[in-house]
Amino acid sequence: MKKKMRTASLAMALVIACTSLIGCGNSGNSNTPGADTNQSTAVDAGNSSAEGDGATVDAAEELEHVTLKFYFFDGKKSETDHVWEEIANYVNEKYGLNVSFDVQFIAGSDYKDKMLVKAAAGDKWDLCFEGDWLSYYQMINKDAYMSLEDLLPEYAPNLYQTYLESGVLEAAKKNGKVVALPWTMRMNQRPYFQWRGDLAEAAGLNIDTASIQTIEDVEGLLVLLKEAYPDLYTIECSSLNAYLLQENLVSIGNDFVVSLNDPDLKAIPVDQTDAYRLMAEYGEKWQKAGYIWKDVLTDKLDHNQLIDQGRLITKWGDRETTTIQRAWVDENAYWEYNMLYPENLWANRTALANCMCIPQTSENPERTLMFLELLHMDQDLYDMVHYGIPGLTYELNGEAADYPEGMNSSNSNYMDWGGRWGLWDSNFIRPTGQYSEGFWQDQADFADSYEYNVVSPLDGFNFDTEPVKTEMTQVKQLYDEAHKMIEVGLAGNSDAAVDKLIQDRKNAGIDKVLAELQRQIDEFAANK
Amino acid sequence: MRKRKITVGYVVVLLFVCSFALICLYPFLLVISGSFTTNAAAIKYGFRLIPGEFTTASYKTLFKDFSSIANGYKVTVFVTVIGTAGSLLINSMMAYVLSRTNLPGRKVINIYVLITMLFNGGMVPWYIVCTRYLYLQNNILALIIPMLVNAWNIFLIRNFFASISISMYESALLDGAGEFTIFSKIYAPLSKPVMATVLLFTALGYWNDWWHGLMLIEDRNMQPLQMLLRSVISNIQFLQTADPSPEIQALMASVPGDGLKMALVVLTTGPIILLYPFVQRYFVAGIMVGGVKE
Repeated sequence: MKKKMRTASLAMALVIACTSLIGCGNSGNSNTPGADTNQSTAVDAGNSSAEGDGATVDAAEELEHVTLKFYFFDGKKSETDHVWEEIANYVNEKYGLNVSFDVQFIAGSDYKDKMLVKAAAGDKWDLCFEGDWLSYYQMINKDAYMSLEDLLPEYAPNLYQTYLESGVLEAAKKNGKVVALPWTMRMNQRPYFQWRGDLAEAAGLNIDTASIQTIEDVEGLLVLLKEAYPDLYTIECSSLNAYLLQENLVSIGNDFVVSLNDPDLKAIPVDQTDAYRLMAEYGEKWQKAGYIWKDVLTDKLDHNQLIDQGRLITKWGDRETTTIQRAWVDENAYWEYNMLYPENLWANRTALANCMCIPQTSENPERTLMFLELLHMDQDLYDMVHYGIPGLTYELNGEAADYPEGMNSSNSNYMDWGGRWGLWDSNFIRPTGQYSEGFWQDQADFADSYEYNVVSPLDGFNFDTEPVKTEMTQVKQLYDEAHKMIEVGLAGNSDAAVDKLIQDRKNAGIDKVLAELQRQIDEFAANK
Repeated sequence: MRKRKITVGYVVVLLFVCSFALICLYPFLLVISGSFTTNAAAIKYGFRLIPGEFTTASYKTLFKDFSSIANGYKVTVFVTVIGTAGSLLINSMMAYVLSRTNLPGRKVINIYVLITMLFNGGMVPWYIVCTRYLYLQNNILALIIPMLVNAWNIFLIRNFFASISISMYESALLDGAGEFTIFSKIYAPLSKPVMATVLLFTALGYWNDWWHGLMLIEDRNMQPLQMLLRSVISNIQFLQTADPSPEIQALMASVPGDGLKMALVVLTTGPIILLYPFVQRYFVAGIMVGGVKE
């Protein structure tokens, strides 16, 4: 009897061991050898430059089949795999690239988390979407992205040329090596103030739009709006950006600022500036007057929704948000808007706002760069990648790419996919529902030619906080906690609150952080 | 049925329990009613028990993409059933072993199990172990195996087993039963309440899990049901954090309205709520039926 039991338990142990080994199937990560189609590299005469200059592929050489794995943002739409299959067929037939694509999507805050874990664990992929607001700086601090210094000019010469001409590569460097493929769109997000024009009109307020230029003007406007619509939310906070603009300050991340007029690029903790104090003062005033509502921090309302619903009637915006389409509930709603402090300096948006990166672990960086080069040269390929398949995922109306009948952005089967922003190309981009005709040209012109829009002297600079990790965590936490309240005027006496914040941060070691930051800035400036 | 004397105390307790039950039920009812409300009515009236304007539009939209919901259900049901059964078996077997006082090295093993409950190596080591050493990537076992063993449940069952009189064990041994027979024929049937508890929590854990689907699965056909909800929530969470880019804000303009979110919640949580009535009787039933007469 006992023997029977022993064999039974042994058998069970074996079964359990075997089930865990069944997992030794496809890891799904490695390159599939695929059918070795003996395709010769048919280089299209008209696009011969796209294949790289001789060194990469010559007519006799055949490219081995590889699967390129890409990661993009947000959810995967229903026709994505189908479209990328067609893209693979197109590049294979026309250029002999001999690739398949494995395109994955990760949504929201999970994107950053998952990609950081994958990088730390040494997973392999070939291209991923990045941004300075995502995990870019954390990744390059860990050396997760491959240096493209040598590969870029060899495998994507035209793309490289475009980068050189627009000067964006400087921002994409770490330790002097290019580690990202920045976007080439140019824009400037200097503060505008927006308010519901239709409501102002309906209440008979004759507001001279062009006269709203300073904080005092904004306050005057708030008084009128609050009086006319006491039951609606007037404003959500006292926005720091407007005050930074007034002082020609640029934020360099981690709650530090630099004056755009300062050739020495001296960093200042933002709470120690006059701009911050002024912001706090107005926050307190507006909270007391009821323009900022009392429960703003605790009610967990989605402010974007409030605006659409017509319950919040002003917005701190920029040139883009003033014109972008909104899902207004009230059909007659529209924004009136004006640029604040038109003669003060504001830095253009960083070239790393949306970019693509190749990880150190990629096995096919050459092939990936070749693909990106093709994307840069071929309008048809660009259309396929960004808009999909005509008739199925988009309709071409003249120059514009529109949704097929009955489709819109909420039930799109391919268009408006997240992460495409890193692949935008100003030469090929088409007007769509979201970004209408001439939108990008207008943004670029504004960034380039408006006299008071400047390129930040510290574009691409990232503060490596490792040497002052502990102090940095503490001062950041102090700032986050206090700023939340100060911004909406719920911190009591504003002067006292700001003084307390400054003192607390000093006690927590902000001077040490500042010294290290300044050292890194000086090094960055010297190496440029 | 025996006639119960209706005292004031009884009525008070009954009222209290009923009102408590209603308070717990209220959010569920709001969610269900919210899933049948139009967006416009939700804005005007907020969420109420009876929808302001009734519509089945949210469900219609969800069912248009029915294949992904059906897939999600298939995966989640399979994972929950297999995972719960496996987990219950493994945890209770381990608990049985730990409850035997004659186990050599018992103290060491107990401490070893306890340590896993206190802290772990972190996300990256866990990910490396799962993908590199256990090859749990893009297959269904990735959703089952990481959650099979749970120290908390082991200790819960172990303590229950330990409370079962030792005389049962000894008399069974005397009758010539082996360890596995004692476990399966004596201890397990006596532990219905604790097994039911562990079953419930394990099943809930498997049903609600989206983490493993996010980290270990990339094939859309193998994504659990909760990943559908997770993508929506993750996007919203992201938008609420500091400074999302204008591109993200434009993307979020297509975030589903409240009605759709509520419908998704109903679809993903509805079935598991039905599990409760089935396991409830095991909590209420008496233990040690026909046990030892000391």
